[in-house]
Amino acid sequence: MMSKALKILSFLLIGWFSMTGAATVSAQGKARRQSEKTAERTAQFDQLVQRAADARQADRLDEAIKLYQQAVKQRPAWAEGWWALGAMFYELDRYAEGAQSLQRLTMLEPKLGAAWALLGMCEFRLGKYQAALLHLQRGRSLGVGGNEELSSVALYHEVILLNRFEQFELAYKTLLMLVQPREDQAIIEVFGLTMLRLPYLPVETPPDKREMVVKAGRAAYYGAIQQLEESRREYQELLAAYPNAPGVHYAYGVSLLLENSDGALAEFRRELELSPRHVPARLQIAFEYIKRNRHAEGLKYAEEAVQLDPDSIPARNALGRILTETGDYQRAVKELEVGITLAPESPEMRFALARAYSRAGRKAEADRARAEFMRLDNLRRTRGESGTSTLPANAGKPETKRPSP
Amino acid sequence: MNYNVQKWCKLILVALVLIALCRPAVSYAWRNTWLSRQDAPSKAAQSFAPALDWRPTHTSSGARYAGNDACAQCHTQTATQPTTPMGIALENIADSRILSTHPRLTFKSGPYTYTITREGNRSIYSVTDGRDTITTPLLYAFGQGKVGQTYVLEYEGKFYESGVSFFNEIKGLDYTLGSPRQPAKTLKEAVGRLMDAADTKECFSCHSTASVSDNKLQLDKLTPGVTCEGCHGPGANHIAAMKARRQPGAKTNTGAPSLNNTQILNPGRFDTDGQSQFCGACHRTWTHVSLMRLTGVANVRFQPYRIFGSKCYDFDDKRISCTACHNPHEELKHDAAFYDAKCLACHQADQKVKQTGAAANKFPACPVGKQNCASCHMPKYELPGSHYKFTDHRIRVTRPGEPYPN
Repeated sequence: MMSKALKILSFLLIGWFSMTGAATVSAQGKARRQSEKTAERTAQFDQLVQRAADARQADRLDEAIKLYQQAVKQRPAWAEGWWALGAMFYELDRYAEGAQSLQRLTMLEPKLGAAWALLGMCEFRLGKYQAALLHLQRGRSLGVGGNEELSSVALYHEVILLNRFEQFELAYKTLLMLVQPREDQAIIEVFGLTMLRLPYLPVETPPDKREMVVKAGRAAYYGAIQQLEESRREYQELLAAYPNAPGVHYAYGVSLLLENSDGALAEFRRELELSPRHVPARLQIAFEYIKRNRHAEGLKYAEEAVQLDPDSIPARNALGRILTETGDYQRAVKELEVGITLAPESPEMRFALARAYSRAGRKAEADRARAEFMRLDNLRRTRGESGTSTLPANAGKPETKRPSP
Repeated sequence: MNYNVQKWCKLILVALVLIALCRPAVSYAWRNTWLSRQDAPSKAAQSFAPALDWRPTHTSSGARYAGNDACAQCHTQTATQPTTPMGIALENIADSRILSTHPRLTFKSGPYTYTITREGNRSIYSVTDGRDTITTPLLYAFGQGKVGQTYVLEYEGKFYESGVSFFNEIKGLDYTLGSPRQPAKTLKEAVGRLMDAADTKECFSCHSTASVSDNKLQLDKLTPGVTCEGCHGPGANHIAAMKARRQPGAKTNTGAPSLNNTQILNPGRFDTDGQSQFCGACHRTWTHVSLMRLTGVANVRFQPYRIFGSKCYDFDDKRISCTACHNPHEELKHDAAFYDAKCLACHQADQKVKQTGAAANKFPACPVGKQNCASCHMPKYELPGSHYKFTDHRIRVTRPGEPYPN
């Protein structure tokens, strides 16, 4: 009985060993076959990529696109393929397809600045201006990896979109990055639109305003490259030709801020006569008086600015600061609290609010506002941003070398 | 009667026992109230808005200055103030001790050679590339020389900041702080930085007295350095007001003299924030630094900005104000031990602070030392190109290898 059982057991063991042995041999074979297949696929893919690159190199873009499309179908996570497709579609003015390819790429490589910038360019061509601006800005903040051509084209489009969305201060600041000593008509025209605060893309500039825009642009351009005599001459010509055109006196006033701030104030007042609802002119006056420590004189202008544009962040900031210095602490706090709701990430607003709380005797709130200010300020410095995002050109700045609108 | 006496005796005894038992608590409560009164800023300090619309950098037209000699008639501080760093923040070239004790200074930058030569009471600044030379007399010397001295000159009818400055540490010339530390592209650029009108006004308004009035530069009325009236405001009206008070029969207000009736400003009465704003008009507040787009160690020079970032900064606690540590009428103290008492005004480990609870948490005593607090908690940083180590006013617990806190 015992020996029978032993026999059965040994048969079973032999069977099991032979089965597992066979399975191992079979698995090893499968792996080998798999690896051979993969190598084969890789070789095929490499060949495909090579053909695609050759076609692109030879400027046979339609063929290259087809080959790259095959390649990304085989390997959907192949970032280079999506980039090549996006770039070629853009080159062929096939912006919708380009945007699709680049969207895939930005999902794969969210920190690839060049992909965001080119996506923004495609969207600009498609007339999706808001998305375009957002993506161009993201591209710039991430950096386009030394691609100078893309960098300057993207920057130019960012500026013209900022103008279109009436973010003239930011547009001017960005525009300065594009300034070259060699005159560039396109840049000059954008300067003109920015300085006159005209919310048009260059192609949308009304024909009857074009000459004025170019004149204002040239004046601002010379100012930006520090050719101040030429700048002044251009401004004088502009004023002589268009003495009553809205925006001209404001632009000239801004150019005078550093050299002749009294003259600048006179120009801003003249602008208000011509454009009674001009908020930036009021803000420039208010901030100039803040800078001069003559807060009471700036009060009227800051109040009017808030009245005309209750959502204006610099207007709330100016009014809050002026009220703090003139002793109306309760109103100052109110204005700055509204300012915080409009610009919760603004260190300037927190700073002013912390001071207003302190003056109002609200110590705990002052401490909290100051702590929050410190956090936001550190954040901004870590990001390498400067402190002019929420305030207009003359927001109490003592040392900025160049005027801006 | 006896019963009544006994009753009163008992009552008095109970009262005495109760007083004896409660005394520590009463004493503690009284002392805390007193301490908190002492710690709290006075009402005068809280009233920020000065009666006189005056800031060191902005004078209204019609301001009547009296001069240091007139101030010296009554105020003893005038004996020491003129020799303080602020007192000699600007010198006429004729008076520049650095230029008279260094009659020939030279500096080479690429193809350019700079020379400052003393000729009697004048100093001549020249830059040459070996072929052409630009020569012009220096007009003003900025800075008292502890760190260095920069010069302002006029060329082609415009003001320039000299491309090179004197630095005390090297007893010679080097690139001016803030200018590119490399040879200029042209001889004209090598002269220095062209100062625009706003720049010029800002430099002169901080380094001298009465040079800017109603937003206009008036160099003919300038007094070199920051004089008494540079901070306290034009003094002629003050002198008249004080003389009028001394007239027999003159009616004076009761109580302490207010800012109004003395016709002079005392910035020492501002609260901490007020002083930061006032001194920061020249020494730079957060608003200035933020808009100057300065990051990193370059902003270590701007003390009101730096101290604002300290954990212990408080808008209205005068123990952290500028004048709590610095007396602008006297020479700046460089000995760290001098400032210990200022730190210990808050960070003391004695019983009264321990008992206050919240205050003890806010101002803990240093577990490491009780001397030379500033040497650890206010480290010094060398500003590249300045040949000088500046004390960082961001008071903090430092850790080895930590980066400069922005």
